[in-house]
Amino acid sequence: MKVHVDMDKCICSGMCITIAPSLFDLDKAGRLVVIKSCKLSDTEQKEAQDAAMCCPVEAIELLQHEEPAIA
Amino acid sequence: MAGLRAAEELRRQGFDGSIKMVTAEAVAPYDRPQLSKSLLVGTTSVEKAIYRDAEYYNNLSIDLLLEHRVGSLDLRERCLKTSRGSVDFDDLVICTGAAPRRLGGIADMAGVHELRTLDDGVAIRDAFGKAPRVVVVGAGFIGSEVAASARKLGLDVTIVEASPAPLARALGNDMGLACAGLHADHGTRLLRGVSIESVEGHGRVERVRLTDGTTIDCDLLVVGIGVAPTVDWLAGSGLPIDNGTVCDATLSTPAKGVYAAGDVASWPNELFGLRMRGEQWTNAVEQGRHVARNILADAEEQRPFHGSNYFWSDQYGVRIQFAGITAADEIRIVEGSVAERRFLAWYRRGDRLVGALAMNEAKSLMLSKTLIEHRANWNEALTAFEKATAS
Repeated sequence: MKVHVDMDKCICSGMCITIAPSLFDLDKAGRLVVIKSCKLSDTEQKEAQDAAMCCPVEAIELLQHEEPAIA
Repeated sequence: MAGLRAAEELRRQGFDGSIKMVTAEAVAPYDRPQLSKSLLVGTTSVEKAIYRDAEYYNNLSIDLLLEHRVGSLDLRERCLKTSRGSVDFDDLVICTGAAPRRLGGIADMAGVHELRTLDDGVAIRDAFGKAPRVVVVGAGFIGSEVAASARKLGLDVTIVEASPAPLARALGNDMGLACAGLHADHGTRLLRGVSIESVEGHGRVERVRLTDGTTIDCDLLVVGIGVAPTVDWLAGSGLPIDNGTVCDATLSTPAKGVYAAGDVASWPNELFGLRMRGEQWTNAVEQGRHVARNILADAEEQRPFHGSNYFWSDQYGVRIQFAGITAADEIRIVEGSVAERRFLAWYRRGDRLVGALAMNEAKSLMLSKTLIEHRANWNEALTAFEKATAS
């Protein structure tokens, strides 16, 4: 699973940072930062799904297949 | 929204039975929070406001029954009577939401709108395009957002608020006034402690007369004086109704297999020891998903719903966020200041942190929300907060 945030949609509500703190953060200016977007643990995958469902603008997209890592 | 999230969660948990979503609306579920914000100023289109297309529902085998206005519930036959025939069920999730309160005693007149549905939003957006003089009734969040959107388009706006203290119920007196201060910053007139005596015009609104005798000429009147849960269709069903559908802590009604979620559900929220009803988007999302999981769980595995009552409001480019409850012994600004329109305020009840309000402080608010959900002790929360923000 790969996490992608559509920054055109994101309103930086911060919901995701409480649900999946190891994946998302807000910087000092209140802008969203994706800390980790791939190679997620099982817990992180579940948190990513929860965050996607609770995002007020549905900006979080979960891609089912990770792009192959560059060797 | 609660219904959509319940259906999605059922599928996500592997439920492969039939799911029917019954709605009086002619369109699929849409992004209601944007109706008073980006839809009105034209940055979100109707198409973008609708969450999912028909293909999405097909792919998830969710039968979306549009324009089925539900008239009554028959618990013995386990079916809904709708405007287009009856719909059977084994389990039912009631998410009929809430409907806007209307101004009493005024004739039906063009140019008077409430804002709840996509059609309402489109009607107000289109009316905004004709450069009207706008009066908004109610300085709650919907009214304030409509006013802010109108000002963004350069319109002349007056808000008429019956209470001397806007948002007092949602935020407490002082913090309500702090938020209402945004209107003056941005050229919106806010009249407090007066209400609408009458709406005058010939077939179309021309002016409003206030209880203090003054009149305001206007071309558009938007009424945002709160909502009431949509429960009229449940009269005679046998379900207890008291400010919504009365549920237990698990969001189940006394009828087996019948649940409620979203604006319509009244439930004892163990997080605060209070019976509550949430009118927020996030509450609908979380309750919808929670009910889906309880439907699939065994009787002894039913889990209580703990809601932190989170909501946000965008006005004049300022983000207001709140979590928790306002019944507090003390409200303390713990970061920033009201004057700079950037602050975090905490609500203390006894020795617990029970609420947090932020203006343009999303990260601090979210940290506070987590502390509230963990029933944080006030002093420990202060220490934790200092530590977190120092890093």
